[in-house]
Amino acid sequence: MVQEELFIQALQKKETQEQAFKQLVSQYKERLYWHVRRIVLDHDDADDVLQNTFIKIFRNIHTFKGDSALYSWMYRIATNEALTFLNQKARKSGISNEELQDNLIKNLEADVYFEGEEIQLKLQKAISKLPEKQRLVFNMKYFEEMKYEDMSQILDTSVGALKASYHHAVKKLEDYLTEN
Amino acid sequence: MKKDFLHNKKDGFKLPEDYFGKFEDNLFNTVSEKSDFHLPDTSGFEVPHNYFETLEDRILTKIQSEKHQGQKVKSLKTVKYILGGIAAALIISLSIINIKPTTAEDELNNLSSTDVENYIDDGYLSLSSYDIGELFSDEISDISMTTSLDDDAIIDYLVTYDITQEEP
Repeated sequence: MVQEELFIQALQKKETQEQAFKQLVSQYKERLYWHVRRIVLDHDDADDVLQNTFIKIFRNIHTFKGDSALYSWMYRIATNEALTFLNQKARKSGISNEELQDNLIKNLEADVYFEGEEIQLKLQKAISKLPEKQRLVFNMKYFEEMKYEDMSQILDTSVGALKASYHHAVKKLEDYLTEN
Repeated sequence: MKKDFLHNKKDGFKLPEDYFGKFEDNLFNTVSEKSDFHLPDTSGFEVPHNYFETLEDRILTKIQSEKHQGQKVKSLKTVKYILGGIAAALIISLSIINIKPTTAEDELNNLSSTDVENYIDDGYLSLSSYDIGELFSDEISDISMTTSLDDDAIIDYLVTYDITQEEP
């Protein structure tokens, strides 16, 4: 905890900021990338969102007060960036978010950076049918193996509600995959 | 003696450590285990070769180039001014719609709020918040907040949206 406080101070001080930020990017780039990628699905979109996320973190680090862990603060920014990106994409295309999800899945079938077998494609299709919150919770718990306590800080939702969301999501996915 | 016994409600039963804390997890695991169906362990997503190796440099280069372009972070003190600017942008959008009904009435009538939002999002509204503030200084001073904003809400807003301005 003390170590994190010192690191945050280094990120906020002008003289040490650049070096500390390099360390931050190096430490979190992969975790945040996969978190974003599972939301936006496409690699190029994930790359754009990830870069914007880090730029936003860099610009706003001075506002970080340490009320939550740095880790969960960054995940909140990444999640907001990814969801805002999808909303804007749907709006610019003049389609609903549900239609956008269908399009993203269609694109995934021809995506060179998706090497999944049929079951993985079906799983992504099933995940795309979930409500947004359940989709986030499922990905964070199942693929990212995140603790409910950390998810609670990131998504500002109680641990009990997250567990229920995850359970509902798994049940829906199993039903969908069994039927299809 | 009997009286003491009645007041002592301990029944001697004990629970495993953190039994209730882990109850939902255990229950959901049991439900999943009973199902014949198992979800795949991997998502199937891949990244281009050397993507993560070059990522840091690209991000740092982008930040450096933004610095050179003279962008800086706006302070919390100016948030009211920004909100005023956003409101004024909406006023301008609506004014534009009202000013030109005689020249392209049909087209403007068909203009949806989504189109207006996209127009602003795409950066076609070539006015800075400073310009808008100058133009509509009277209107902005009339804008009153009906709901007070707490610091956390303001910080969340700043974190969620890009709030930048050019160097004077």
